[in-house]
Amino acid sequence: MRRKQDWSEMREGIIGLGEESSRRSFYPELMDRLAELERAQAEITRSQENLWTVFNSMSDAMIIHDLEGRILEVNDAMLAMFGLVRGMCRNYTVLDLTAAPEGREATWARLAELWSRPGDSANTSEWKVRRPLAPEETFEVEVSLRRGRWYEQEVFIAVLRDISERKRLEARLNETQKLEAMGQLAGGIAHDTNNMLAVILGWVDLLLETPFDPGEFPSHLNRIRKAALNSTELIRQLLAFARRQPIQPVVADLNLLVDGTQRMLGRLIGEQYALRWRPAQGLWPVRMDPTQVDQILTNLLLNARDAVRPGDTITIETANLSVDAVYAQAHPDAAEGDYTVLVVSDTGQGMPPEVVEKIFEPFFTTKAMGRGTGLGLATVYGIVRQNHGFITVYSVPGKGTSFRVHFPRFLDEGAATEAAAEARAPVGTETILLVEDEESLLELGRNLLESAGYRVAPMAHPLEALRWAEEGGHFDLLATDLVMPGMNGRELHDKLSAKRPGLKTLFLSGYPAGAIDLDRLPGEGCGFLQKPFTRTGLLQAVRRVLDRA
Amino acid sequence: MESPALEELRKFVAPEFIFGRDARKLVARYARKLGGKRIFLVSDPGVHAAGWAQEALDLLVAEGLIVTLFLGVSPNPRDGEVMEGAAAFRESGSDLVVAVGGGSAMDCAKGIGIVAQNRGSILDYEGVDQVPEPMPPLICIPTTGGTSADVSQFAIINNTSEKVKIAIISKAVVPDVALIDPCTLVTMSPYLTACTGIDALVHAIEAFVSNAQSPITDLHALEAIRLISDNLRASVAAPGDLELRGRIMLASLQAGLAFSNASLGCVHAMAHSLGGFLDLPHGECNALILPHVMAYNLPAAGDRFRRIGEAMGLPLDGLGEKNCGRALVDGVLELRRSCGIHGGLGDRGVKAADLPGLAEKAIEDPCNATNPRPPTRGDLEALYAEAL
Repeated sequence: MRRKQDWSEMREGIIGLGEESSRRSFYPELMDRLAELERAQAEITRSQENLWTVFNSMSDAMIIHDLEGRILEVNDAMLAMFGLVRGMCRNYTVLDLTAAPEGREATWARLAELWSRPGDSANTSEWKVRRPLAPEETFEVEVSLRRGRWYEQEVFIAVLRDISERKRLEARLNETQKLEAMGQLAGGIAHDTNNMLAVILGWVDLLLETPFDPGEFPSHLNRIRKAALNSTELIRQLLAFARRQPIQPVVADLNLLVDGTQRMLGRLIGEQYALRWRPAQGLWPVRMDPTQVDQILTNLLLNARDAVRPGDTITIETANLSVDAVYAQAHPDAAEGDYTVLVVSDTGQGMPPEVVEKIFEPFFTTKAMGRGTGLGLATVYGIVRQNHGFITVYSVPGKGTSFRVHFPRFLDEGAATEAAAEARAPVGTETILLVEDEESLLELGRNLLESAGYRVAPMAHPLEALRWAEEGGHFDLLATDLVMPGMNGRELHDKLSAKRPGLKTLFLSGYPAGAIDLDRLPGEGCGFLQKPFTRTGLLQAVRRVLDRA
Repeated sequence: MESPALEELRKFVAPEFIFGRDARKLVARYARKLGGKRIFLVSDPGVHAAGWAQEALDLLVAEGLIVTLFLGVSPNPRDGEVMEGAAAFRESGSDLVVAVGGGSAMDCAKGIGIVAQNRGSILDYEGVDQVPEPMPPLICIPTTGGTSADVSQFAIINNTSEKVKIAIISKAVVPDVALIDPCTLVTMSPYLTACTGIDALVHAIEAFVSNAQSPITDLHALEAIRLISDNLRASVAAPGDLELRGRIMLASLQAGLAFSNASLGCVHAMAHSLGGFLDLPHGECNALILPHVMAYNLPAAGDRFRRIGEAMGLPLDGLGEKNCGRALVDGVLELRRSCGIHGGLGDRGVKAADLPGLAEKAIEDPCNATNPRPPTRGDLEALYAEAL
């Protein structure tokens, strides 16, 4: 009778007097849930307060802004950084906070570009910003930008760190590092220079002590000259590295500049290696200091020479290249635009990637002690960046290396290519007042000028020159050292030109940047020549100043 | 058998209800008062075609409420329909259910409410007091005179995989408000009027002879029997007579109050099994089975059946128990015939081979628990055979 049993229970259930059948109020449960919600609400409020505290405790400024740059929320650090009070922030956009030297529209375009970059992760960039209430007060920040959601809205979360101080420290550190480098270099330079001086002195002694032999004389002199030139090159590299060497860019055909140097360098490399030179047709002009092209080519060729084995080939080429956005993306140093390219490649031993990574670092060298300073490629890199170009390296161990140096195309086609005109050393018959406190240089200058037909009044002291001129000495050009005891070249020029309007002056200096700012030399009728100089260099400079209207 | 009144604790459950012409038009006010903002309106295509669902929808919208109309209800509402309705309820963010229609729409609405709040499957809640949490507020507007789902604690859902109707019995499925409006009955066909009327009669008779009857349920049961006996024939013959419709609607309400609290018996147990098996109208199933179960139950409740006969107005004076019972069964058969319900189960497609299976399922039905004579599976199979 199982069923019957079940049914009697079932009947009880239907009649409904059981515990579960009783009418039940959900009111207490409802109140419990309400209380729980209220607790949760309070917890959220406290949590929000905590987060707000954290938000405002950050030393970095935070700005939450919408996709149009309208500011939605900022933290206390932002208010302090931009000199604002909380209520005002919503009246400004990111544009109001950004320094806009190029105008609001161009700045807006830069911001739009930043915001259009894809990706969910933060991207970091450096910006110059300003205080809206004092727009002339700008400072530098590092902005780390990230997309996110703020309430229901898509926004950017920008974290700003003031890096003005860091920039100052970096600059100071750079200077310090340069000074350290100079110190380290000094030893090497002294050593090299000493060697060269020993060579020079040795040959000179030999010449003085042996009977004059007209057949041997020029070749001895050439050895002396070469030793002196080597020292000169060393100094030049040092100056280029320190970026203290004033550059004198001219619009030039890169093919012509390379053509001159590579002939000379052929000998440097040696007969056992083939040097090929392939100038491109229709090469775009560049605006460069020809000396720098020399330096680049010399360094790259010397590097190639040390990498090649007998039978290998070194090739110099030129080419035109238009860099587009894609290429620029792939090469961090490259900007979009047209470039004239100088390629130096070799079929030598090549380099592994970890070496390629470091070759532009100062003092990085794979060469044996005494053979390289580690400054060559660093100098090349410095020069290229100084000229707003970029350099790429492709190297395969065992196969060879190719350096591609990109110079920005010079677009003012109207300017004459000056370099070609300077190939020969011009001559003249004018009178030149030459002032140089270094006796040997004074003598050298006089000989060089007189050999080109000029008449020369040599003066070892500026006061001596002044006196000579006051006593009625006539001259067409003042060629003076810049740094001299008693009176510098500039002062001498000023005194002399007071009575001679339109006085033509050529300033000579070994190390001018510290002593004089090139831009502040009297412009009209004046020129500048870096010491040491070659005969051609001197004669060209003299002629150029003399021929000025 | 006279029950020992007052010796047993008894409970009487009923919703708030409004009875009378145009009661249905209060739907929007009640929906708002019960806190509804987004209303889930459950009806079936037939009732929608008759215009009753649209009228309710218009009234709710005019009150500023947002309405989702759900018409995926078939006769003998299925478990799958309940689950779809519950998903639509949650998806629409609804917070109150209005059912407009017969037992199908109202039972489906109850199922939707249960699942919307308690999750799981509707079949999880089969049996007595298995619904743990109350469902969203429910307003019922019945459009048939018999089902009484609008006042009952019952919801009957078709378990389609088992081909059987399950009964959910819980205080939780008593509607919050029933708006009982005789006007809605005028769109019923004469045959549907007859079937639902006999359904109400079966509710009243089974409640009256139930072993869980009580003085209060007796009152309503006898009054329902009297009203149906006196008015059903006339109402079937004059479908447009609102006065007659009102009496049948009142009978249905009273029968519902009775059986909701006293429960039912073997007629419903067998009809649930049959309805799940053949998808026949519930009222029609009841009508076909009732006389046979009455005859089976006579020995267990002779006195009560005599009072039923008296309420039906049958001339029983001087008849012995046996003859009284025969007269009662004849009276019911006559009423059935005169309302237009003819034939037996065989005419509806039931075969002798189906009977063991039908009995197997029917014996599991909780309605058996309150039948005055505890049935066996064999009893039920024999009763199906008689009804063939």
